[in-house]
Amino acid sequence: MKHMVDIEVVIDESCTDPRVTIHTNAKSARVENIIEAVEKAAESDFPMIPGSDGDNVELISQRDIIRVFTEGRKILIRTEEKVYTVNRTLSGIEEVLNSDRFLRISQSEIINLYKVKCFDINTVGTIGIVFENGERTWVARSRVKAIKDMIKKSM
Amino acid sequence: MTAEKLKYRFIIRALVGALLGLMIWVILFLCGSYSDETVLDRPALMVQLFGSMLLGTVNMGGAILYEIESLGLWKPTLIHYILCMTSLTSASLILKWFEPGTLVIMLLICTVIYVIIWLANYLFNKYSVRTMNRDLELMMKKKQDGDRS
Repeated sequence: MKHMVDIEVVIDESCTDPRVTIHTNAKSARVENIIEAVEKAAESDFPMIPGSDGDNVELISQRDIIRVFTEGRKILIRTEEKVYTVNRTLSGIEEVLNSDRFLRISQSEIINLYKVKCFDINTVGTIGIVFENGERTWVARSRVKAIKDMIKKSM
Repeated sequence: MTAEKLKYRFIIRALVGALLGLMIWVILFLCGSYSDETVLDRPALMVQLFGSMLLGTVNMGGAILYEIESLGLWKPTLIHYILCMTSLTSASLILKWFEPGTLVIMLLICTVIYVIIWLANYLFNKYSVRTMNRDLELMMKKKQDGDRS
């Protein structure tokens, strides 16, 4: 058959997320369709989450999420650029988040482990998290073990 | 943890504390805390027993504070410490358990125990943070190597 697509799968344990590289002699509609199909397949497992920045509703990619937290009665999502308000419960969001990346650290917060810069401890012994964007939060004592387990699993 | 679960756990802890208070009082009574000349009538015995059970309830029930995530660590420790010291002092003075000098020593010992427990918890958390940072670095390095390849 003409115009077959060759698919090669390379098993590499150092890859945390699957990477798709397309070799082609020119960008064509066919290539665009393949890209779209791969993107759709990826998002079907870990869907984008609709959030409002006050003016507009946008679809937030899970890769961009730093943390999801409650503030008063609102559920907020923090990305590098903005804070979005979401129309779901924290548990509802937790269900659709990638469990290899996201972890509940308290009753009111879920974090993206890949956006954590480091952990620290204050003078009274509470463990804290410092994110890549400089923001900080605190870990509930009951969740410390879960964080340790998740890091070990991802290593 | 929901308010309902917390309430349930508090009740269980308070009951266990009351039982422990009862057991400790019985053991001390049988070991001869009261001298041979001491004559305790029933009402006085009941008051002593009640005092012991109440002390157990306050100490064990008060520990529920540690399960309220929003309080962190130092607030429950401080509140529990105040609760325990107050209840021990009150019970001791009202029920005449210790001489004032002995009571002060008891309070000092309790304070030292609290400090030791807090310090142990702090050192354990410090160690945990060190290992978590080390593992996080390895995890991120592996991710970067995977992204680059």
